[in-house]
Amino acid sequence: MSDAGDDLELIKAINGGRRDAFALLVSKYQVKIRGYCLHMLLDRGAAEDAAQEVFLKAYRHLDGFRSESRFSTWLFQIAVNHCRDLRRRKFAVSETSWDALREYQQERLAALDGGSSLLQRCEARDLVMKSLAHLSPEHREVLTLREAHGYRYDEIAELLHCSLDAVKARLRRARVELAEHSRHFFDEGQVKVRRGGP
Amino acid sequence: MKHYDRNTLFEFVAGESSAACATEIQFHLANCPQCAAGAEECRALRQALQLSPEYSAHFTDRVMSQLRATPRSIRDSLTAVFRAWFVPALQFACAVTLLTLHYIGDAGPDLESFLLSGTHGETATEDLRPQVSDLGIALGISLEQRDAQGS
Repeated sequence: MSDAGDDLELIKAINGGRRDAFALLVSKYQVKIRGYCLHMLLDRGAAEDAAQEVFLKAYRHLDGFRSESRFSTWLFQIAVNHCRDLRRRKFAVSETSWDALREYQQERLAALDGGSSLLQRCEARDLVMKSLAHLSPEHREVLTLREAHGYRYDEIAELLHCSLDAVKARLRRARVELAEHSRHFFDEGQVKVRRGGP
Repeated sequence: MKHYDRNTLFEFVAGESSAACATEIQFHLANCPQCAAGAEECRALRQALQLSPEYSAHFTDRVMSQLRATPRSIRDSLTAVFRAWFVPALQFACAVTLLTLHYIGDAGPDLESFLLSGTHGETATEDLRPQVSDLGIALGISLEQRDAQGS
């Protein structure tokens, strides 16, 4: 069965009363949703809380899901709207939850144990976060959806409720800005560049 | 020598350039160290953007425990209220009705008149007292209160 078909089967089961089947959907999409929230909010604790709220919202409105779009797109739509709401409400970034902090520290320790490639991975992620902080939320949205999650231009336009031309223009601008703000990291040699084809 | 801007290089490393354009850029990068370095930077940035948080079983557990604590929708809330209050109330009402019908059916007009008029029937008043007492308890009325009101 296809990936989307699997999701539909799970949704039917959940709507039929098997609430625990929702854990499979959370497990399947948590990395993407947490990653998106982290790029948008740039704060680990807030991103974890936001991702959790996205899944809870999805669960509450699951009987309203129509199979015209993929479940992953529908879920991202909730994540996009939720992160926008949080930004509008100027979420508090100072409080990082203990859970998020502990997981982050465990990740860093694993990276230290796991050798240079894992450590580079953590450093690269931290540095790209710093660069993303210089971009406007609109630019971060489009860049994350395209580069991190591989959405097509038309899908991004649908998710963000804007025109295809607006997506292209924002993405162009976002890429240039990201490159500009990341330049000094490359100059300092902090981001390890791997040689290879496109 | 002309140089490519960052956006063009980004499109190239993302595989978004047309075939003709990609060939041209590829050729240019082989001869231009500046643009080649720019393309490598774009590639590194794309890779860094694609780094996701690690999978966390703890996150799934947190969502599921939160989810168990909260109702799913208004319909769920109403269902929960219905199950918690309405169903037991309905069961109690049915039990009382059945009990009442049972006693009225058994006792006939004597009990009915005893309950409704407050006057003791001429026949079998004492025989009815245990039944009346049970029914009174079911309805929350003590027989002594009933007698006090009758007198």
